[in-house]
Amino acid sequence: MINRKISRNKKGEDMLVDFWSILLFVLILILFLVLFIFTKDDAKSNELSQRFVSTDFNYMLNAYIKSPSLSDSSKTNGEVIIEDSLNNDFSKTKYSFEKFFLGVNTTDNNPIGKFNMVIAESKIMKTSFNVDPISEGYTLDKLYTGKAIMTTYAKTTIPNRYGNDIEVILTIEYVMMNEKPFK
Amino acid sequence: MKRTHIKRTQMKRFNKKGQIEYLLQNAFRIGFTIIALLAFFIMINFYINNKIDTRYVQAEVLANRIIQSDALMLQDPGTFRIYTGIVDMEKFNDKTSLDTSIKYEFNRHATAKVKISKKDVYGNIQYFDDIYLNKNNWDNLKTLINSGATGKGSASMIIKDFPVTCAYDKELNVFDYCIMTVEVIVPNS
Repeated sequence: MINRKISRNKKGEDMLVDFWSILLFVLILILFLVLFIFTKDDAKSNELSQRFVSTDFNYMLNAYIKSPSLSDSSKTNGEVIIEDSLNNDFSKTKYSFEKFFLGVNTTDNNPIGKFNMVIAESKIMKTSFNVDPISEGYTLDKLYTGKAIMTTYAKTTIPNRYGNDIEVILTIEYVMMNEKPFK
Repeated sequence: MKRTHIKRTQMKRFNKKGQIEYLLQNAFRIGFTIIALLAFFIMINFYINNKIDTRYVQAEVLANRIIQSDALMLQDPGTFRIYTGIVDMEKFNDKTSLDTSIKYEFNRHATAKVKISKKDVYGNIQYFDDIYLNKNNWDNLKTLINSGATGKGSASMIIKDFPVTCAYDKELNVFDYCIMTVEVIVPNS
């Protein structure tokens, strides 16, 4: 009864306009709330769950480049890469690479499926090798069905005696077992 | 005119009809203010991390400290340069190397185990040895993890493999390629 009376006079009209604007405002707030709910997890995890795999793979490449070569212990693997690149024969590098990365299976509880090394000069690929830590006949997607296969790479440059840069790129495939490292 | 209008409004507020009308007029405003305030506080709360989970970062930092520092890595005695990626097997075989180089003042902290192994061409893994940081805690926390216990009383572990060179002398005359497995356990807190 009172409501009807209010809606008929000027004050009542104002109040009705107020009501719709408030309703719209509340709806917009709810929309923002929903958007915030969807983005809140990202904001938290981006800050604290930054994965360190990239650091690990850079360490692996660095360790390989600086380690003494199996074919000539007076030289490091980096020096052997330069030498092989000048001779256009990468057999020594391949031998060391396959021995060095053999048996490296895990990073942050995630299984590693493949190591691949590309050697390039002036952006032109000269050679490429693979090491597969998984037993022959099995691949990551067969062993870990439904899990995301990630690819990360580490890269470095070594100058040769003619001032040309030899690029060494190590690509690693691994399976992401858990989105969050710790539960 | 203005005066009479004020008087009328004031009078309206005091009688019963006026009070109800006044309440109806303001009910939406009050309700809206409450909703807006609630929404504001909820939104702000989403972006405030009251509980920061640092376990993973702590484990990573400790693992990196082990692989980068002179705790196990070869160090040139003349220049003190550390060769990361080349493990000094003399340090590794001295079982106190990790405990003497990485020290924590309180007891309940992260613990680590470093294993050296080698995989031959036939796929067989040959374990050489292992070394611990804070072995007492390792024994306690590893038991909890193995039992499947979760929650604040338990712990979490990361495992990482690194291809390294095992140096059996400082001059790198005798060496071999091997795998260094770093396992770090941090208590859940």
